[in-house]
Amino acid sequence: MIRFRSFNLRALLRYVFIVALIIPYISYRLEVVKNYIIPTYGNTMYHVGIERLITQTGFYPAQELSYNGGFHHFYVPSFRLFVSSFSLITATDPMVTSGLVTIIISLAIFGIIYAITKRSLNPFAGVCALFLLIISPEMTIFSIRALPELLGLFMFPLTLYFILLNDTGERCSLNAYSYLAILAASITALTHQMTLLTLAFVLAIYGLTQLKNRAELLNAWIPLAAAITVYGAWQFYSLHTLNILELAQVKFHEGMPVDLFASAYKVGFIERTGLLLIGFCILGIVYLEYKKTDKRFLLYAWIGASLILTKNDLLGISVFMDRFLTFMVEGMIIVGGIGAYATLEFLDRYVFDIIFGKIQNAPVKK
Amino acid sequence: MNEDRLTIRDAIAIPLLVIILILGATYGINSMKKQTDPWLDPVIMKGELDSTKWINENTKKTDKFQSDIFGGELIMGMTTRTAIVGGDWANAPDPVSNMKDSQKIYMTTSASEANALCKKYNLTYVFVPLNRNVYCGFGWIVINKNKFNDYNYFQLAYSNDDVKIFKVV
Repeated sequence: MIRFRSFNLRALLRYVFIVALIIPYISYRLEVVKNYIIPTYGNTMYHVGIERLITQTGFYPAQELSYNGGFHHFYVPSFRLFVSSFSLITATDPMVTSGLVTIIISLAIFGIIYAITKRSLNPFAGVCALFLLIISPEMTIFSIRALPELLGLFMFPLTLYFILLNDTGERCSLNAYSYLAILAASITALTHQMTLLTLAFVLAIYGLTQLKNRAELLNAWIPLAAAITVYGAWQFYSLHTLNILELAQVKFHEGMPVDLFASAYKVGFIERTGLLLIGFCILGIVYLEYKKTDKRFLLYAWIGASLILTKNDLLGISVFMDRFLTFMVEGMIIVGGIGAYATLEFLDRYVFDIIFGKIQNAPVKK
Repeated sequence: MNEDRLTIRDAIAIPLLVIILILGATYGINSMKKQTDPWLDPVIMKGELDSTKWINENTKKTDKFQSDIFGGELIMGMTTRTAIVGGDWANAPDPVSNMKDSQKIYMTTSASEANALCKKYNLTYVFVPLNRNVYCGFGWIVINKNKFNDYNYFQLAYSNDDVKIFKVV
């Protein structure tokens, strides 16, 4: 990054850039509440129905409204309870509340992307990550609709953030960050099943990279165990079974495969991710390896695990490949922010210094 | 050099960075919008939303609707009534049959066939959007609306510019 001489100027510039980035980010999301109804792609109004039932009765419904109703529901309740609570507190219709909550949670995603990148390297990399976030088609598509996945896109990185903050050292004891990670993982488990699967895969793989560091291994695997236990308990309560193979999404292979370029029945990785992000992400990995930063393997596990889930069609599973791509892009934005910072640092150190050095050392005519 | 003062180098570098940010963000956001704008589409017409007020005031909580996925989710969202399709199909007993039959009710030319299918699912009302195609799970289709005018099988219960709601006889 540009080595500004004044500390205050650096901090001020950072905040100016953050404000400059947050303005277009929010203004685009205001479109969600500008129309007579919220965007309806992705079953958003169905969730509003459940939220309306909660606000009317005070209970989480045991039976579905979907497909003629009358059967046990599969969905986890966090997002719906959050919207219903907000609706009750503000005395606003659940449909309008859903739109408002969409804006609030997408702002929280903005914050957590900055916080993780800042913790992984420094605040300037955080600003670079925010820049990549506001131009990301994939992250925008999933942060302009009132969906449980939206909350998942915040809760999942929040769990990882607590793991990042937990400086375990050699100690194998639980501390405040451990409890926060356990709590966040448990809420994630009750937010969105695909988010849970991504979190579980990321923590499992990260744990495998930390087999020699028992404290860090437990730092990853205790929240993992908590998330799986909480979800298992919920599914047994709601569906009376732990079996997921009979679910329509699995049986009928819901979701689109992700290929390099988009086609009629495939989502394009390049289109949804963007060449800029891909390039910066590669640079980010190189830079992280060069700097050997603390806990960088958590970021690698994030991208690696979500890549495996995105390409689950190659494993013969073929379920929601395109939805896992969103979590991969979210991780790439953080690493991409680090790559963008590395690029600016390189320009500053090796290009600007040479140019300005020549100007400053140029002979003065008398 | 005083560390707290702005240097010539900074005075050039900062505006340069700002220009790069503005140009990059403008280009990036415009190109992003081409992909993301369609996802903001409400699909549902204003009159369809208005009709949910009538549904709330004139139908029973237990009434069930023939609709497409978007119409069904509108009805669920605004009235908590159930619809033949729409919502989460994860644990539904036979969601694909619901989709096929819902599509058949809209597409068939036979009022008696549409009526029989409605009765199979205990559907009490048919939601007919007038200004958009419908999606029951197998692509967007055009509704064959004439059959709903056969008063032996369907009776008009509500209408506005965007939607008609028929009671199943």
